Amino acid sequence: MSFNIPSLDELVTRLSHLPGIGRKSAQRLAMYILKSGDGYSDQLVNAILSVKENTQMCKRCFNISENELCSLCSDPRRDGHKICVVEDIVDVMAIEGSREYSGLYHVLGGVISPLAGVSVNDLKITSLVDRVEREDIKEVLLALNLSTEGEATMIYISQLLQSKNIEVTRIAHGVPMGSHLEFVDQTTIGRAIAGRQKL
Amino acid sequence: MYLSKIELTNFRIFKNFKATFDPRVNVIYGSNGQGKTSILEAIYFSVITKSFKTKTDQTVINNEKDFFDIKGYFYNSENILSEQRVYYSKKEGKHAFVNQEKIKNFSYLVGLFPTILLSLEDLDLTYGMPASRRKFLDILLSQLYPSYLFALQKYKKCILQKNKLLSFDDYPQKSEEIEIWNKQLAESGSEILFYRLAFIRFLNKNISTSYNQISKKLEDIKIKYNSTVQDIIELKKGEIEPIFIEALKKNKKNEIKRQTSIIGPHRDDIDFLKDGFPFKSHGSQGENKSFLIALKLLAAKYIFDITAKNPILLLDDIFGELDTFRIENLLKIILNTGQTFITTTDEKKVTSIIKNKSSFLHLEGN
Ligand SMILES: Nc1ncnc2c1ncn2[C@@H]1O[C@H](COP(=O)(O)OP(=O)(O)O)[C@@H](O)[C@H]1O
Ligand SMILES: [Mg+2]
Ligand SMILES: [Zn+2]
Repeated sequence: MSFNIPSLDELVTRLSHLPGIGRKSAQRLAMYILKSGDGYSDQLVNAILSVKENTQMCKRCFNISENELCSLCSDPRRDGHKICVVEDIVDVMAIEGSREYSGLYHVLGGVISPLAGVSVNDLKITSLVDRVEREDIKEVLLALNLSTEGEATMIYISQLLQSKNIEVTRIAHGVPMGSHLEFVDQTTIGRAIAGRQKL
Repeated sequence: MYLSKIELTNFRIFKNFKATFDPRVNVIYGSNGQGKTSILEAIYFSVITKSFKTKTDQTVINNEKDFFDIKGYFYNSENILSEQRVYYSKKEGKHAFVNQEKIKNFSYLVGLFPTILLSLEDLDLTYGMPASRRKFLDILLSQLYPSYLFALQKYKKCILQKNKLLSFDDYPQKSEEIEIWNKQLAESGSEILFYRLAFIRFLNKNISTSYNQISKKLEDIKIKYNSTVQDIIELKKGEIEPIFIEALKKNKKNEIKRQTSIIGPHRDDIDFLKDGFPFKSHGSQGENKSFLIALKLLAAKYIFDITAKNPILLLDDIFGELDTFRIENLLKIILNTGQTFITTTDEKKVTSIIKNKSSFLHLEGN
């Protein structure tokens, strides 16, 4: 179905390219934008343009930033002896959301996957080793997804860092909060039990 | 543990089908094309979430419909009823439910109600390619050990990645990157080997007796696990991984040259030997059949030994080439194991042993 109004149809098409947005949702969003008052559409357009214009990769950790260094790298309260290695900037947000971690980050920009055409050279791995050598780093925490590819990448990085005289750790795996134990697969339960903690 | 009822919607020839089953033996009979095999296929689907006849779920949807729905009502060993449901449509994909609760990870379902299938396709076990023999081990052991299924899934994924990597031409980091896959392959592959070898040892201890029960013939039968890693049949758990790593190291150059991975359980095979010769070439068709029955009954026994549950046996149209004597021996054994489903076009073959009326389900007019 289309509205047969070229400008509106164009908006619907553009919106439907967004992840998680189907044709129907795109139509609803387009209608909302069309009917909105108070300059909402100008604000939306400006916000989109500005995010492209004003952001860049942090020079140090490759997080998203409005300056050369991101807000985390330039915050003196962060623990500069720790680096948490993640796949993507959304993982930085997720870990920050937990407020459990106060060190620095390093965003790899993916994981090793020959099938997806991603090799070690496509990831920010050399720059990680550089940082470990130049900054006063005591611990590198590997917080990649526990897929085979994530695991492969962690193996690769931990081998590279072996000789560097720092602590290399990885996040624990366990049972998700709020899940019924009987419906958690036994592998997850097995790993959670293997990594159990004293109360 | 048994299946008490099944409800099929748009599964193969059945648009709407319901049947209740006997907790012991069920003989599903009727002429060809009535849907006997399809019922076994549906039972298998409800516990393994896959067909044993096709890889594409779309195929089992009734030709005139666009989804199928299977509900199996199982009593577990504590006699608690559980509804296992599998739903598939091309648009929505496959969904599984236990007691109306949606299951995110299908691995959770596998092994809840262990099931052993014996069909004509199993002749591939003796006559066919190594892949069918590995599949036999994988399906059995995945139902027994969640960690086997997990290791297998991980192993297969790593093999895909490694083979892709090996296929690249002019890729300088190849040798270095192989290591990160090899490490995971050795880890998950050793887990796979450990469980496979334990089962092979069990088979060797019991296969001659089991064969004798069916055919009343004493034969020297051996089952040999041919590993690409090394001769490892007697190794203990911790001993496999270092040998695996060593074998991967030794063959690295060769794998790079051949551009594919050649070491590991995905390349292993089993030999079935009678008097030292392969069943394939030295056994008659009837002997092959008897051997396969003995093998599958032992798989069921293995499940019982480990889990104290008798698995559900699905025997699809297996009476061809078997004389009355062997059929009767088989039925007598079956009467002493778990719930069994037998399909046949000729129910008279079983009525000398199976007399219970509730054991018979006649299919006609489909
Ligand atoms: N997807 C399908 N939709 C409708 N009919 C099917 C489908 N798949 C198979 N059939 C038909 O179902 C019939 C029963 O098959 P099957 O279960 O193998 O019968 P049986 O084992 O009793 O010989 C066959 O005649 C076949 O043509
Ligand atoms: Mg059939
Ligand atoms: Zn930064």
